[in-house]
Amino acid sequence: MRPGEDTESSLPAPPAGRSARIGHVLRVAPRMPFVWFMRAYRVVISPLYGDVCRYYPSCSKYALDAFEVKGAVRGTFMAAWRVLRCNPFARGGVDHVTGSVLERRSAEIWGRDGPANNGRMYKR
Amino acid sequence: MAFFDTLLYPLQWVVAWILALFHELLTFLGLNPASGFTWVLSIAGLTLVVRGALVPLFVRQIKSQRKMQMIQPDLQRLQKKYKGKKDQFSRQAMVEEQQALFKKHGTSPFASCLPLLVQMPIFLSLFRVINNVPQMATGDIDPVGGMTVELAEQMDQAIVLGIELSSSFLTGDWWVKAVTAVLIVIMAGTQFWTQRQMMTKNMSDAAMDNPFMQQQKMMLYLMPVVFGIGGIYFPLGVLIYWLVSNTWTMVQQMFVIRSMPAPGSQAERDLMERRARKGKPALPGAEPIEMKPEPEADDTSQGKTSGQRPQPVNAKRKKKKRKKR
Repeated sequence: MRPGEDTESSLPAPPAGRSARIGHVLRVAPRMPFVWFMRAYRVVISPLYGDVCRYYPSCSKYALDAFEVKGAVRGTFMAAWRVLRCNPFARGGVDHVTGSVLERRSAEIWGRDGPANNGRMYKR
Repeated sequence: MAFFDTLLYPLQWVVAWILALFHELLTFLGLNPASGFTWVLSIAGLTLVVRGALVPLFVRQIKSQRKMQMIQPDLQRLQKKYKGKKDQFSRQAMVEEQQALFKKHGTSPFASCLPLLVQMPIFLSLFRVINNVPQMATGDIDPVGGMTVELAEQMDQAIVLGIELSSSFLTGDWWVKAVTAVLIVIMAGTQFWTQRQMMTKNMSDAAMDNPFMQQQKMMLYLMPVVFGIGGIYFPLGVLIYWLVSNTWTMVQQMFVIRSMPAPGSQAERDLMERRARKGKPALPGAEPIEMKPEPEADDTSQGKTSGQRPQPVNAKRKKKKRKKR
């Protein structure tokens, strides 16, 4: 578990109003099993092998954020692609899920461009 | 479970294929195809192939550790900058800046996620293949890859030390329980020892400062217990895989700690000491060890005044003398 990685959930906030809330629940429901799985994984399995990830946030946190922000399908692709990218030949660095709480915090600290030396992973 | 099996099917196919291949090879070399020992060697061969295939990745990581030593001063400057700040924002800022630094220099102290995540499905596949062997023999499950029905039958009935390969702690009689218990204890023990070696000798002083150290220490004692309890469910074949794998890790670890330690760790200090004693220069970026002046000069001066040549000293005593000064 990386320092500073435990944040509040990045799930979209539930809107006010009865019907809007129902719509929100329907939209968010499919991603919840994945979210719960990733949370359990980070609590149970991640401590077993410690810090291995070349990127910040770690791949499991990235997957959690991806499922919370982007949903089930896009989240799966993003997490899978990230795991493939996280290999010994990669340079690592800072790589947030756009729209996550961690990214917002990062923008507060460094401004829109992220920390120096990190370059831009993808065009925003 | 069936869902898992279908998901892991391609991997199971490869695992079964490698197993059958080794068995063929060993039979070709003259070993009895039905004996348990042959199957044990086949499983060991499979483990070595899997671990061996990961070695190039590992070597690459070791090389990048050398580069890590070069950027040590930058890292230390960074730590000084954030020293004492424990709030979430500062912690995130520090980690991000650190990671950006690693990216800039193209190195990283972290191994990356892929090797580990690759080993997990392989382990699971092997588990499922060996677990399913009895059912493959009776025809309940279709054979996978190179494991034909005959081979499955053979493996199912193969006897090692009087135990069938597919029996586990839970399913066997007292003899099986005794042998598997011994194996499980050995494995949990090697796991604990390897982890402990890494934590005491191969972690840099900066890494030891991190707030999750307590948690890691707890894990050190908890993990062997967890695996020990899981081990009673594993069939003997899987226990053998685990044994070979852990032994490989232990040997690999010993080698790495001795010759290519992590920067800033106790093991590195030991290495620097050994190099200084042999007269070799310290590695770039590491702290050189100050060697005490040679005692021979003092001995000869004493010899001149007393008119007696310096008495020959046993090599061990010489080392002791040097250390004393």
